[in-house]
Amino acid sequence: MLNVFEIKSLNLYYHEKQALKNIDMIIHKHEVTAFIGPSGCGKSTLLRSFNRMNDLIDGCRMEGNIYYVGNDIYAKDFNVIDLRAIIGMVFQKANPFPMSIFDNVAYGPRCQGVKDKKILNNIVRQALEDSALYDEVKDRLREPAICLSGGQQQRLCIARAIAMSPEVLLMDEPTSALDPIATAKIEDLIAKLKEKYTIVIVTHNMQQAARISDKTAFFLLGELIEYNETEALFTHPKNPKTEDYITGRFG
Amino acid sequence: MTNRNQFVTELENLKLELIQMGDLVIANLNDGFSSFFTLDLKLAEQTIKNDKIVNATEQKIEKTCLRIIMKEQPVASDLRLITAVLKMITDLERIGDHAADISKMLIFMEKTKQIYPISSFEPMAETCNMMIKNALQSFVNEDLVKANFVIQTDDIVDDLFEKIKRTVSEAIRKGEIDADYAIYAMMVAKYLERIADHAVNISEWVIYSVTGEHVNTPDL
Amino acid sequence: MLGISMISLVGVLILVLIFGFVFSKGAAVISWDFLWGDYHETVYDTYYDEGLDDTVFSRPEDLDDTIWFSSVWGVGFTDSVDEAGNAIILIVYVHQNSPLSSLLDKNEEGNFIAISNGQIVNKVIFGDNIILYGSDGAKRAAFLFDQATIIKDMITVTSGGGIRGSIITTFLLVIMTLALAVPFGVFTAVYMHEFAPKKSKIVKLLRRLIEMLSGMPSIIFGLMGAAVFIPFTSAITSADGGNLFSGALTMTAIVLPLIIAATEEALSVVPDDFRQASLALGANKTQTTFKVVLRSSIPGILTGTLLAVGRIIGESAALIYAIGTAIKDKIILTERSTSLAVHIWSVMSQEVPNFEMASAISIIILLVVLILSLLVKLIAKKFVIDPSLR
Repeated sequence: MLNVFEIKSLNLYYHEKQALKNIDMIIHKHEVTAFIGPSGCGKSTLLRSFNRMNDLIDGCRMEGNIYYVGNDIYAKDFNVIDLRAIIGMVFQKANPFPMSIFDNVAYGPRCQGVKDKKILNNIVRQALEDSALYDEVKDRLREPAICLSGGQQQRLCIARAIAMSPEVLLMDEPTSALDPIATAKIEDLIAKLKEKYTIVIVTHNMQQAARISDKTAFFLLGELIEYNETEALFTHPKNPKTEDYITGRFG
Repeated sequence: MTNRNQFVTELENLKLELIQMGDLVIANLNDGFSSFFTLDLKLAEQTIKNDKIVNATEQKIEKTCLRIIMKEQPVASDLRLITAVLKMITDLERIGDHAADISKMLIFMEKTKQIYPISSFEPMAETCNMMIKNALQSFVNEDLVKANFVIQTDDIVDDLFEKIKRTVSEAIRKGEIDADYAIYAMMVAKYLERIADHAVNISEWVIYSVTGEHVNTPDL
Repeated sequence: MLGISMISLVGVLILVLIFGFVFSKGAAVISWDFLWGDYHETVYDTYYDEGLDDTVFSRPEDLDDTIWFSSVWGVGFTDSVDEAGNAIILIVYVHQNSPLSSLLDKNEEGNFIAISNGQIVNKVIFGDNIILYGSDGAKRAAFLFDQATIIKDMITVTSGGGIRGSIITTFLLVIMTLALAVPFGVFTAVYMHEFAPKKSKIVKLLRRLIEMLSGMPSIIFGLMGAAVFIPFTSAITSADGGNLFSGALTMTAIVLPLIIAATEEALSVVPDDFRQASLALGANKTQTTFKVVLRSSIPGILTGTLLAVGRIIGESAALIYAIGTAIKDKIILTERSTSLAVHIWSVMSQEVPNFEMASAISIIILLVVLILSLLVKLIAKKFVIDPSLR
């Protein structure tokens, strides 16, 4: 099994505060890995370090290494733009650009220099189909993305990320702002998407983690407490802290 | 400080209900043995009647478990506990059935107006009694040692069963025993052996609840 | 409660009075000639001696009974009155084939002048030395023209008092200023907000400076215009003294803080989510800034631009110094001219202040400002849909 991400002795600091402590883990290809843990445990921070979005935060400092298919992504002169083109990200709150649906999905490819109308049409169509959104919007591709419902907007954001043909999809609590039906649609989508992509999803909904992930990692106060097959972690966790958290006894 | 206090209380109540069912079954079992050894027909009738209560109790606990699953979406040890309880009440209910069956056999045996004393019955009944008690206690205390002990004890019951079989077949060859009586006696012995197996099952589920591993000792 | 409404009533009354004054004085002056005519009167001195052919011009159907037509020359006259109340002869129609459309200039050899609609006949000396005076009336004018075949000397005057020159100047000024201020202003704001390091001292200093500049009285900018921009533009162009370039440069200085502030405001309202999403898709900072952030800020920038336009139109003191106060009809970029506001100042500073013209121009300016503010409201309604509110 090819290792998509290898994290070795990762320590991360925001100014003086340590957000991640000695993280060692491996993310495998074509798996859905869920990060769970209470607020402030560092799961989103770790996720954002996979595509170096933490670079944008003032005072963020890192020790240790993260390897993407064997390459140290924090090496000097490493091309961050290319990295982010291969690793897509979907955020907690759907954030479509104030443009048409078509332009939103085509944004990434256009930034890469794709100009041919035919090619763009195909890319957009394929991305929307893969995000289970095409049928709902095929007659109004030129309408502003704002006109879509919350669930549709989030699927649009997924389509936007997929249009870049990434290898990995990072999802930061993608359904926390959505109603149950929209959530269910996206969870079904994730089950399909893992055939093509490697997915890492941060969620504070444990049932969701149990439903959709192959592996689950539990974080607490910046440490990786337990990381295992989801079924094993949710039926008999090895660490009592994990047990306390997932049974809700955590206080 | 724990969260989900309502849930914690529900689980405690569930355990209590299981133990109460266990006590009910043990009481009924003792009545069954008692009636058998003292040839008390009235008690036998009572035992058969009481089994209905055992069945009703099983359904009640089953409903409670399903409700907890729906409401609380249990995971980890909570999930294992509920699963174990669901399985254990089945075994307890079967034990209850066998207690009633033994009483039925007594009634038939009495009709044959024959007495052929088989000495192994009493130790066998006592061992079964002890096994069930221990199994339930191991559940209460999450005592893996006790649970394993129950599993080991099954060998004794199996041996006693063999002994009874030899005694009865010997008596048949010698012509010392009434044919119907012999059959009824074997059936009682079989019921006792099955009761012990169910006690073993209960212990296995206790082990699962605590460790997450389900050891399955084949029923011999 | 009563006291407050009384005070506000007085305030409204004052505003109504001002409007009323301006309208009553100026409304009568507004006409097409006013808007598009020359300011300065032009005197044409012409003659015609090439003889006439037998063409007879037919009187056009749409000329009414007040118009006297000469079928020999194809020209129509009417009686009118000038500002001082004197009777004048006004030319209201000239046929395109009329000889009058191409007369020889007495003052300039070989130059042709067209007698056209709107000119006033001052004096005509015909071939047999018959003279038509300006006070003789349109009927006599048509009669005498019909009898004549040669014009020895024809003096016509275009009525002045038009503000075309100032309208064109204002328009050019706006275009030139925006051409400088918008790119500089927007890019400065973009740099300060998006690209400069967060705690940069230079940016802080810049912001303070811009704040100061936006509070400075515009007359100081005018002085700078006179002291710096006029010599500067005179040196690098063929200008000699105040010109539209120096005016545009001065207005740019005034308007730049406005545009920078409006742009920064618009940029700060763009949710950070957009930047994050764009970068996460593999776009670089430049693409993110221009394709997403700036694009979202266009309504705000547009609003700032329109406000700047309003400022340019309303500016008087600075332009008096930075360009000058000479009202022109032919606008040349390297020469002096007046914007509408300065035109008002100019006619009010004459020996006899021209209240009517000043009021008329004020009405025009008010209308333009009204349209601009409506546009701003329209943009705000149509485009400012904050996605984070959904």
